[in-house]
Amino acid sequence: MNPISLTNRVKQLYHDGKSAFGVHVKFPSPSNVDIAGVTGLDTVAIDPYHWHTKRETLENMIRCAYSYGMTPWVRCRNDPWEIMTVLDMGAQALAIPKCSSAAEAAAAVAGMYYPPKGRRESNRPLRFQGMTSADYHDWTQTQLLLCICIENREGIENLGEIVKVDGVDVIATERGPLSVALGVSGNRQHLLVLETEKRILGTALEAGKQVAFTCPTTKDGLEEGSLWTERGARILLFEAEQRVLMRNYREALADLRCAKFD
Amino acid sequence: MHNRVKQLYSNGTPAFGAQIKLPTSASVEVAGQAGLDFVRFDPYHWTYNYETLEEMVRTAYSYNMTPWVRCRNDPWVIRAMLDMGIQGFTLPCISSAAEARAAVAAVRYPPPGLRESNRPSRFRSMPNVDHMDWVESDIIIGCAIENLEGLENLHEIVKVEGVDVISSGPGDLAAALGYAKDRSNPKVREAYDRVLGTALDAGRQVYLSTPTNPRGRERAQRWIERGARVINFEEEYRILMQEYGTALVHVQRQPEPGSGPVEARSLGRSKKQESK
Repeated sequence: MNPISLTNRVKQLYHDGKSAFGVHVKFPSPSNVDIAGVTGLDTVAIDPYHWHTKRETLENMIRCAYSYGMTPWVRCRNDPWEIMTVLDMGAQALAIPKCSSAAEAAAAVAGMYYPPKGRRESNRPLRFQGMTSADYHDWTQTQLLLCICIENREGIENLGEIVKVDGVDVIATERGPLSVALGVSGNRQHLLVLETEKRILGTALEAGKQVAFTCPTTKDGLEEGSLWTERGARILLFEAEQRVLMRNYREALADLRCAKFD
Repeated sequence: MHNRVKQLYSNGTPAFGAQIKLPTSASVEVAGQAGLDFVRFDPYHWTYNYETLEEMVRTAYSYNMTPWVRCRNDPWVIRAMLDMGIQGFTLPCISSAAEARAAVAAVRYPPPGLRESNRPSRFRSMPNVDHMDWVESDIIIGCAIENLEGLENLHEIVKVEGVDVISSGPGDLAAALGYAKDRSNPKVREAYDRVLGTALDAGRQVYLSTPTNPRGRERAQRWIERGARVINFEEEYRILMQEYGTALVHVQRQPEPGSGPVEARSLGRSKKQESK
């Protein structure tokens, strides 16, 4: 059996012009990572930013992703210590929420890379201790992936500057926070939200950045995902497990609760 | 504090639940939010630590869902589950009336049971004697008939006093009947139907698990018409794998301008990665 690849699968796929497919994992459980792996997905986007995930659990989720050759993608506060420790666990991609300015994006880049490009402190995951320090440094330069999320008013205003920041690989946004930022709280389908989303992702693609788009696994959601693939997005993330489960349970329950019997 | 499932089926109303395999309370919350009546955990086949399981049970209480478990038919394990607040049991591979009686004895306090004195914190505000009554009236004891001995002794098992619910498992049943690689064999289905039918005829309740898709719902509907009142939706990991797998196939079919047709990447793609 060949050793598990240490190549960032998402980055490799989009460099080859192919799409990478992944899934949001919110539950703090490596079993959910297993599900993504068995399904044949390329990445798992884990969310310890909003979901309470023990650090040991997070590390085990990342280990599980490696066991399937999936890119471990972690949503992480824009804080150098947080970034450093998540990279120390083996995360290959970071999603930085609510980036407001080019300076904040540059700070995330600095948190991610060793000097001279950045300020990451010297340490690395066990998995990478078998290679020389120099090889690991090279690996970080080519394989790490930084995704910046534009989801507040300042971020939208400074979009043109943010997409120019060197070291930012991918731009993403989310309709929930966008609706809050645009004053139409909770209305994810509001025209203003959809237009802003289109502008953010379009600007990123024009600037030569990659784009990650999240879509529901419903028919409409997948059509939207495919539309963004046509526009050039190469990272498609499926909605999180709790949404999928809720929809399936609710549909089945609604159907059977009103079933006739006796 | 009544067992919601038992209350429902005693009134002739079906109870619906979720099969939770992933050891996390988040799954339980989703079931609660969806409006389900019970959650069934599986520390028999899945690796759970007891603290996690107890948190899952607490989460079930916080949504007033019946916490149900599949566990070994072992008095120590059953006692530990009861001490956590579990209200329903599925005991796998029950082979004889004696084994079913042992399960009942493990749940009940003496006499006539064997359960050692202890109870969850949440039950400590009621007098001891009320709690003992509650155990006898509200705990659900389910026996799964899924091996040859169980099939042979089915008529005895369904008569055991204290056994509330009968179920079966197509996987083990298929293996027992010599069709391990052919679960959908009509003989397996026939045996499955016979187990559930015999239980209903004997006045016992039956438990069955069914997919959330329209076909599964139709099947559940037919069983409800025959008298089944405990319906569990298939394991969450199956729902997720099917949904994500279908979604993946769907989006991979889309053309990608500039890169020619998308390389057909099947679900077995990881194998191809390995060979690189």
